[in-house]
Amino acid sequence: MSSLPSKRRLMNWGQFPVRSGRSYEFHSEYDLDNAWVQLEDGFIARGMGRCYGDGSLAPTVLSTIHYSHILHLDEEKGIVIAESGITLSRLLNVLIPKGLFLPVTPGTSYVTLGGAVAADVHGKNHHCDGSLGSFLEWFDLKLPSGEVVRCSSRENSELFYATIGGMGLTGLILSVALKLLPIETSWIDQEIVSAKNLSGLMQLFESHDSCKYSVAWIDCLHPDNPGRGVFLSGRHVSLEDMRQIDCNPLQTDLSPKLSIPCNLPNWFLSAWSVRQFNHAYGQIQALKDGHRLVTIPSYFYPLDIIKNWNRMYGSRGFIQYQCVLPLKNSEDGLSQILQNIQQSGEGSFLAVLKKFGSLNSGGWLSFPMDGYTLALDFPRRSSTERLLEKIDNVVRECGGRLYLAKDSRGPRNLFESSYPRWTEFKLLRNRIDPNRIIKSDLASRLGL
Amino acid sequence: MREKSVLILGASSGIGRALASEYAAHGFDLMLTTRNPEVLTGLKSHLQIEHKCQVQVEALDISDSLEPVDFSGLLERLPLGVISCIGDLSDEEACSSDTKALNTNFRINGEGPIAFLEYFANRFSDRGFGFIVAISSVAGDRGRATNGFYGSAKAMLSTYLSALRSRMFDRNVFVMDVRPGFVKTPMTAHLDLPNLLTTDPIFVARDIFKGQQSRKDILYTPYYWYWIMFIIRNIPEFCFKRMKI
Repeated sequence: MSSLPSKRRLMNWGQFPVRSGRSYEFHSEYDLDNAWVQLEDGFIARGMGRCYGDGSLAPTVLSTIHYSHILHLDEEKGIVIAESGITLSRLLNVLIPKGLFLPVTPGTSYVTLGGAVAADVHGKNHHCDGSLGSFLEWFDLKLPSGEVVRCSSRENSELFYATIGGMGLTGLILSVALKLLPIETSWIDQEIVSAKNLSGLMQLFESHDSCKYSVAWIDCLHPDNPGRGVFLSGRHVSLEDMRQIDCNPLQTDLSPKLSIPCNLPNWFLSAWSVRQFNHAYGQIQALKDGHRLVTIPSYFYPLDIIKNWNRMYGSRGFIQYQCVLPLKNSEDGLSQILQNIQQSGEGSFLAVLKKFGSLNSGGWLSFPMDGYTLALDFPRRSSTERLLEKIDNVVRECGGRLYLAKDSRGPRNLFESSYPRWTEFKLLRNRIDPNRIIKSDLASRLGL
Repeated sequence: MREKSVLILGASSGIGRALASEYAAHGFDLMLTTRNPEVLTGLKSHLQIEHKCQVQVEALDISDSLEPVDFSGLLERLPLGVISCIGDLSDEEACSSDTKALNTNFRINGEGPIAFLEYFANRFSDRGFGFIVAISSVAGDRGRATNGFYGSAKAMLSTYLSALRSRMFDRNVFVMDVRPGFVKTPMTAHLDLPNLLTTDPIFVARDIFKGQQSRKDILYTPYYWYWIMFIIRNIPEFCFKRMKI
C-alpha cells in the first residue's frame, strides 16, 4: 500500500457513466488501517461494480473484493458471519452443500454482501419476506473517522438503519452477520403461466401471493398487447418431493458457462432485434407453461451463465431503469409507462415486473414499498433520455420512486420527493462525516 | 495435520493466498507463514469452514535476520511440499543509489527464499520424497533496463532452483521453477499493466497446482509467456542493448 495504485477507467455494470479513478484494494483490516490515511481525500467502497449507475464511482474507490472471507458459520442457528467483500456466489458455494440458502437474493449472485446491504437488495420473495435488511443480525461499520462500531437494531440503531440501503455513504461495512434460510434441497419447483396483458399478469401476482417466489417478464414492445408476459413462480422443493428423482439434492454449480469476450457493436440491440428477441422468448416460455424442477442458479440467476452479458449493449453502455409504484396507482402507472415505451419505439430487452409486499427493513433510503416494481434496460441512445424523463413524470405523479442501485441519471427533485428520510440521512452525514471523506458520484448528483 | 500438507512461505501475497485456496480445495492441510499473521486470520477461518482443512499460520520475517530459521519448533511435522511466494518488486532507483535497498532486494527475492528452500530440500532429501516450488519471474530470464535489480535477484533464484533440481533428481524431490508474467496482485497494484497480458492470481494458482502435480520443471504462466520470453531471450545483444524495455 506504499505507492499509489495506478489510475484506470472505472464503470459499473451499465458501462455508463465511465470515469477515471484509483482503486485501492485490501485483504484484511490491518491493510485497511494502513491505507485509511491515504483515503482522506474522499472515497467510496466498491465491490463487484454490479450496481448499474454511479453508486460506487468516485475519484478514489476502495475495492472490497479481496476482503472476502467467511469468518464464522453456525449451521445449527443458521447464521453466517462474513467479510463484506464476499460475493453471494462464493457464499452460496459454501452454504448450499450445508443445506443453507440466502434469505433474500437479487437476480445475480455476483454482488458482494456489503453491496447487497448498502443497496438493501430485494428478491423474488419480497412479498413474503421483505428485503435483505430484515435478516441482518448486525454488521461492523468503519466510520469516516476510522472508528469501528457494531450496528444492529438494538445497538447504534440509527447508523444501522441509515446504512441499510444507504449506498455505502455512512461508512465502510466490514463484517456482516446474516440470518440464513434452511433448505432441504437446492431445487425449485417452478411454475410458468403466460398472461395476455398487464392486468392478467397483475391478477396472477395477486392469486399467487402465498407462493414464496414470484416474478414476471414483460414484452413491452408487443404491438397489440403491451404487457403480454410470462409469470414465473417458485417454491423450494422438500427432500420428500425429491425421493423419486435420482440426483444430488444439494448440488451447486454457479460458474458461468458462456462469455461475451468483448463489447458487441452498438447496433446489435436495435429496436428490431429486441422485438424479435422478445417475441421468440415469449413463444419459448409459453411452450414451457406448467410445473418443472429447476436448480437454484437457473431459477434465481439465469443471466449469470453468460459472463459479461452487459457487453451485448456495446461500448455506449445501457441504462437500467427500475421504479416502484404504490399499489393503488400501480396498474394505471404501469400502463402509462408501457404506452410511453411503445410510442418511443425504444425497446427494453429485459422488462421485469415484480410485486413488493408491505414488509419493510427500516432502511432510511431503502427502495421497496408496497406496490409493483418494473425494471427496464435500454441501450443508451440520444433519444433514451427523453423517454426516461417521461417515465420519471409518471413515477412522480404516482408517488413512486427510483432504485438508487440502478440509477445513473435520476433527477434530484424526484429523489427528494420520493425518499422522505433523505434530510435525516443528510443530517447524519453532516454529523459523522462533515468533511465528506466518503463520497460518490451518486451522492454528489443527489446532493447528499 | 494430515500427511497431505503443504507449507506456503509468504502466504499473504496475492499468489500465496490463491495457492492456499487451491491446495485446500484439493484436500491439503496448510501451514502458512507471513510477516504479520494478523492479515491471514480471515483466510484461515474461510478455508477451515469451506474445506474443513487444518490451517496453521506462523509469523516469519525474512528481512529480520540472516540466521536460518528453525522450523522444527514451528511445524508439527515435515510437510509434503513447500512453496515459496516470497518476493517483492524492488524500487530500481533506490537500489541504484542505496546499498541498503540493494541488499533488501537480493535478500527478499534471492537469498531469503534460497535459504529456506535449502533447509527443506535437505530434509526432504533425507526423508526421500517431497516437492519444492518457488515463484521466480520472467524478469529473471534476461536483464532488462527497467527492472534489472529485481530481475537479477530472480535470476539468482532460478539458477539456484536449476542446481537444486539436478541435485535432488535421484532423491525423489521435485523442484519447480514458476515464472509468472504480469499478475494482478497487491505487488503490482501501482503499475499500469497491459490488460491483455495480465492474469489474476487464481488462474496462476491453478496452473501452479497442475504443474506441480504433473512434476513440471519450469512453468511459464500463462503459457504464452514461454514464447514471449523465447523471443526476448533470443534478441541479439547488439539490438537488445539499444532497447529500453
